[in-house]
Amino acid sequence: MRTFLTRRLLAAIPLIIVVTFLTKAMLVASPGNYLDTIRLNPAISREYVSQMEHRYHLDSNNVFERYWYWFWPAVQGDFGYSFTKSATVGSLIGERVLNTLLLTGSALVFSWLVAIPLGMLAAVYRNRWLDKLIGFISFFGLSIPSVFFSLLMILFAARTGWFPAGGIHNQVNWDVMNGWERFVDTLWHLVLPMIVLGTIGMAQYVRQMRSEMIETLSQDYIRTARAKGLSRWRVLTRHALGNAINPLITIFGFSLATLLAGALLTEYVFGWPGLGTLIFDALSNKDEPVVMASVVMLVLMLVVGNLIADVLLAIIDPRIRLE
Amino acid sequence: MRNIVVAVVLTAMIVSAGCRGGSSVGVSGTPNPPFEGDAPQDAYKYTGETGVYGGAMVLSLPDDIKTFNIIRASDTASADVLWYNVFRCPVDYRNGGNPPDFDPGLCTKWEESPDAKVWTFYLRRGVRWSDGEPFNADDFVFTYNVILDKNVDTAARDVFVEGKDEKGEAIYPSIEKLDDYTVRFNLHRPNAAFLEAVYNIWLIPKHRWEQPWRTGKFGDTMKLSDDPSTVVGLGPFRVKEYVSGQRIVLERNPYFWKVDNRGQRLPYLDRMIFVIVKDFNTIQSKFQVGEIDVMQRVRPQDYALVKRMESADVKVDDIGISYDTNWIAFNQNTGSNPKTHKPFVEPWKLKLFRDVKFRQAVSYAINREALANTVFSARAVPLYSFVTPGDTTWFSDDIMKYPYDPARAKELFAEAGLKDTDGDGFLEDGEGHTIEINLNTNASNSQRVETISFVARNLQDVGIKANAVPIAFGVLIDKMQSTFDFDAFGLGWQPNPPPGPLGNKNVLLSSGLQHACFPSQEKPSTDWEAHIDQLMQQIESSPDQAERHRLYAQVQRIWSEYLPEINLVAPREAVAYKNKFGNLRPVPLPPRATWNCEELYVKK
Repeated sequence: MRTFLTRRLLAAIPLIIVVTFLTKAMLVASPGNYLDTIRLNPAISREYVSQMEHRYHLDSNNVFERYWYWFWPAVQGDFGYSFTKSATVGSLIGERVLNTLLLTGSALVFSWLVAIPLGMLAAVYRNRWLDKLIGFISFFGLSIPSVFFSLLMILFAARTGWFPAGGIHNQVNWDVMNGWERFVDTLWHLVLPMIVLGTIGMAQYVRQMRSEMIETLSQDYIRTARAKGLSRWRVLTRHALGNAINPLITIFGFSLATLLAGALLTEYVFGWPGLGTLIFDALSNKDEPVVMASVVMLVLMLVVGNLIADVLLAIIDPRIRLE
Repeated sequence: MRNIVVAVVLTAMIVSAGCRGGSSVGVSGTPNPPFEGDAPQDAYKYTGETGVYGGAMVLSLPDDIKTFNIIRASDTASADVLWYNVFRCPVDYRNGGNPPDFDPGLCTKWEESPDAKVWTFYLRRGVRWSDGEPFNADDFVFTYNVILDKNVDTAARDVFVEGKDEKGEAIYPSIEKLDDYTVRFNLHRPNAAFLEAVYNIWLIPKHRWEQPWRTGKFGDTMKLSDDPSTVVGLGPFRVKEYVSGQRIVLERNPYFWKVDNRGQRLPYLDRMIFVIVKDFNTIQSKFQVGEIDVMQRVRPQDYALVKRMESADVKVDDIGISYDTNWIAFNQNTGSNPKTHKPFVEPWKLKLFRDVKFRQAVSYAINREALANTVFSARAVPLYSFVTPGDTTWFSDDIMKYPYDPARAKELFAEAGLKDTDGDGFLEDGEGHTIEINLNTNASNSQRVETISFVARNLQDVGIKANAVPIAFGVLIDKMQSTFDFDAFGLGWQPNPPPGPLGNKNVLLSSGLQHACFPSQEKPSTDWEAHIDQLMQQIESSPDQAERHRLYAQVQRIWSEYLPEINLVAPREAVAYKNKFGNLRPVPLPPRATWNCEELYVKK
């Protein structure tokens, strides 16, 4: 196991190098740079712009040179300062990671908690009205655009007043609230975006779960277990579920990988101050240090997520052996 | 079973948290935080409507701020939060004054020599920084020197450039401290508009930043990650809290130097809270539920909807015509690509674009009223030069106008030598080239995209094969300033206060970087551009205000006749706000509703 883990983690290093190099190449090749909005300000002169270009090494068009300016400090742990904001890249990302993890983590839990029972029910009552209803819900989740869904939720919140219209907590009174109030306030703000992300996420799990369950339930050993007198419930949860869930573990690993990357549009509409909005803004403004650091982090998450998926699978399924 | 109970209890708690309702910050009548020390001996006497202490104003900010370092800040979000609220210049500008004009502010008065080359500023005595330290002329001189330092990346330096010396180095006015409360500028050339330049000196404290500056570390100061109490300024508020991507909370500056005529010190508000919300629809929803107090920009397409929210508690006001412009510009660049030696614009096209009759024809072909009624939801007025009617100080109506006249457009096209020789409905020039034009703008701004689509259709109606081609913002800037690889594009300017010739220099001068039709010329390529350059120089050196207005009106006239930019419309602006504030007088010039933030108060 240990050699397996070490090998996988070491393999991540060339992957990160290649991906970051390609990212840098695209940043250099695409026209314009972060100074464009500044350039458009009539009060700002050409000297100021060239001064900034020189300071941020944006005057060279050589990809290798620009890559090196990023790579060498990064290897030593210095990911630099954001171009657009006067803060270190590390502090910018660090602040946002927790917020995004809170959102996507709770959405992941929500989607799984809902998907597994629903998938099971759909399989057990297949082709009956319950199955069709669950099918409708999952297709709804699959097809609705996240932006539209988020806007609908905000409209719902604005009309009824039961939930806040976006944001992560009450901005005006936060400093006078105690710990418990803050906890509850954050949860209250979390509900709607979590529902949006969770509904969209659970859709595919429901379908997967359903088809896996159907296949498992048609196996001989299930019939044997029932014939031996085990209750329906026990057969389902103890025997069928464990086997049906195998492929979903792999998917779970992938979801871990996209935990940090997946919530962009929802975060944007809800005004949730997370990593998605940070990366999106950095990309639009061509804030290179932030983009590069985000890419590194996302690749790492992908590698770790896949790794966890493989390890989990090996633990759960005795037929699989890791080399 | 137990899990279900837990889930239900949790849900109940969450919903009940919501039922506590939104924020309601009461008006206490006593300032919190309280003022410190005595009012300065020379305190500014505010003679307007007096208010009561207490309360907060919650505003929306469409983008996160980028820095607390006001000298280095060049984005609108940082400006919205820091300008006027946290920092002040030696003089103030009253956006909503009657008329809008400069105000002594931190000075008791200023003196201009008859030749407009010597400017003396007399500072108020006894003023303190927001950390309690005394303010005097040393800080003024220090801030100016920081701005002039080449190693400091600030946009403020350029407004002080007076020319270049023999070595090609820029020359700036020299500053001297006459005594602790008097500062004098000695200019090399007369500049009657020098106050406009001084209005870029956002004062920072010498006692805090001299050391970092001298050791070359000024770029590391006042970062977003620093302790907010280090952001020391002379504005009515100081930074209390900053949470990235969420909010900036400003609290009262207990040392602020204005007093009202009841002897009460300003500001009245305890706090100003900026909530960062990027999406316009979310801003409106938040305003609707009362989480935001003031929406400073109601978009034209939203005005009708927002107006329906009006009630006893919510007001939606049309605040007049904006200072913002919308225009299209044709590529009149006579230069060639230095590497390939190909001209930037094909010779037959260049000849056409540089023909004033062609541009005037295009202007007549555009139906500005219809554009205002459709793309701007009837919330815009036709615009024919670079100053909008919203700028009551500088606008001149004595300009050439182009009411919609497609027949006149066709006449002028014919005079420019264009004819439809092959009967395909589109005009050709003398050599048989079909006049096909690509109109660019940035794809991310839907209003601009709709505008150029509208203009393209207008042009097609008179025989010009015009295509609306939205492109990425970075690509547009590249074309505008580096490759010059375009036919025409549409954009707009959003001026900052104070309005006037200085702020538009880079657009109007032929050498300017934003002289869109042909930027950064070494010498003017046409007589009218030379004329404008000369007028702008005269404006700077003329000490007579009336004369400067006259000359600026001439520039507007030439601009409207020769059309380096074909101006289209100026939008009307609106502000939506909760009807609980006194002294709220929004104007179309940034910062719209909070230019007099120290005078705002919450009505009991």
